[in-house]
Amino acid sequence: MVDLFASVHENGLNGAIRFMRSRAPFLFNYASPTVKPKLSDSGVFAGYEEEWLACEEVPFSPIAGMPRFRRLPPMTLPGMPIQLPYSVQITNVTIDFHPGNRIDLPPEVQPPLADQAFAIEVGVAFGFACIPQETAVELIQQSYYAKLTGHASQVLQVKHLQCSKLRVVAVGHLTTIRTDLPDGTVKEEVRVVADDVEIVDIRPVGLENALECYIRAMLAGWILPNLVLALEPIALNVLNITSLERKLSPGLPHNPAIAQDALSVWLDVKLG
Amino acid sequence: MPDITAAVSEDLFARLLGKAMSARPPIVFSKPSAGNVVWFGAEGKFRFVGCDGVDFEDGNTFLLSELDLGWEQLKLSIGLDLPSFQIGGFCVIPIPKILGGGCVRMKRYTVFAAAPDIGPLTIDLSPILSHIVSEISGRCSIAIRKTADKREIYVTVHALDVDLIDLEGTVAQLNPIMQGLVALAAARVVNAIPGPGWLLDFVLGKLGLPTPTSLVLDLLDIGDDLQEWLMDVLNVSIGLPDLIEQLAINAVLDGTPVASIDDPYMVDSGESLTAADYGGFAATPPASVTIPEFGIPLKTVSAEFSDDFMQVVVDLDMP
Repeated sequence: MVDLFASVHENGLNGAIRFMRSRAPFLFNYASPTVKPKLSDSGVFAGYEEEWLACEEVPFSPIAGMPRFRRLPPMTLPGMPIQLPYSVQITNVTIDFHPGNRIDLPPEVQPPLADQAFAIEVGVAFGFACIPQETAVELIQQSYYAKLTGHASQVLQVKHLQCSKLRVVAVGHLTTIRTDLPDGTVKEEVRVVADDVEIVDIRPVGLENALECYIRAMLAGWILPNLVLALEPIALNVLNITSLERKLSPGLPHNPAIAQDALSVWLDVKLG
Repeated sequence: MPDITAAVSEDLFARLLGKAMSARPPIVFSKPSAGNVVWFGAEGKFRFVGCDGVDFEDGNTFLLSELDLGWEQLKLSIGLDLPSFQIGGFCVIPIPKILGGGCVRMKRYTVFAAAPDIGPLTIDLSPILSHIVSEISGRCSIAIRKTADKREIYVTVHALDVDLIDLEGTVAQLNPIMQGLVALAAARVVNAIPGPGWLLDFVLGKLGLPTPTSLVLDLLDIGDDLQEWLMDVLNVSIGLPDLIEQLAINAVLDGTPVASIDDPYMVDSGESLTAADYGGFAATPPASVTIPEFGIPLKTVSAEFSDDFMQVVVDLDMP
């Protein structure tokens, strides 16, 4: 007997992701900032201040006090006595539940989207600072001078980043693992299986395979499980139901199910 | 297609309603006594303890089949206000005219002059509370209201019917309770009749009853079936069902939120680091900063019954 049914349509999910990007941009934009000289009112050098560069412009959130970037540790290169700014931005996230109609699937993931499957498209923009060859030696000299004067800039100053964009497409499905526990209860876990991951138009093949491997691991191990795990609280939180115990309703062909452009779950609920 | 759809079964809805109702503080009432010769009043405290079933209808109405009341206190008060009359005052020894005339009169007594004459007598029905069964049924509907930070799905009452107070099974404790009441009332009858002891017998004889106990039993119309008598007093004489119905509508059932939805639906970023972990603030932040909470506002929320489920449809307001 099903107590509770909850369903999230892909439109709502994608809209919520867009909304979160605009309200909490730091969740989607990661960077190690560069610096720029800071001058006093009288025009005297007064140290350095951070400048957050990225490949795609990140508007300020309408929510006061909301940061735009999450800080990443600076990058270094062997032999270069300076830290390098860079950025990683998730420029778009689109989720498409079966039937596929929102994401143009590349041939590598064998379209069309299979029954009970989903697709996720993520746009990623990488930005790296370029060190002009002629300034490399100068940097070393500057660093030496800076150490003498105390005006040290440990971060490379740049005006912009060298940008590249990737389009990552993954397809997957859900599976439920049931484990019998010693106390006689059954533990249920909904897991996401990433069936295929494709980074569109990246070469060489070895680099593509390695990145796809990383992305597949991230999708399976963190992003998609969190997405599914979020669904149960949505169902319960939406109605402010506090529950001692809930389990997937048995006897259904697919639970959770991906169909009709929505992710749905049926639960049996024991109220707390 | 709506952004989020949640559907709740009849069974879960009944449990949610029962839980919402049982979370309410107990309802305390006092029905003052009123009446002519014999009158009854009641003081009580009850709460709703659960809902055994609802039946969703087409549209947004549902039949509430069994909303159970749990009694925490019920005291019955009884008063007897008998018509007063006077006895005595008659001439015992006539005085001859030669001696001035007149007579020596018997002292005049007014019997049953108080109001009430007997009572109020209070019977504490605590020993039998677990046997008192009361249920509410009726037709209700759901509606949605917007508060400062929530959308609440709440119940409005169309019509209610309170099942008559019933006593479950044979209540062994009832007999001694009633015997105590009658004995107490009889003692009060004795006290209510002034004058010498013979006057009590006189009054009882005038009323056609041999003992104070028989007077009380006759006035209260207590027959052989104590349970039936008590149920009749509670249901008819006091009118507890009507009272409970009003209390249920006014104080508890009407406007009770069965479920609520946060609006905006808060998103927890899970971030609790210092300002140094972030960048790109609109203005220079203090060293220690809390990432502001934010939520997705709800554009529309609707609820209706369909196929034995209450379907709640939510559209998010995402410009």
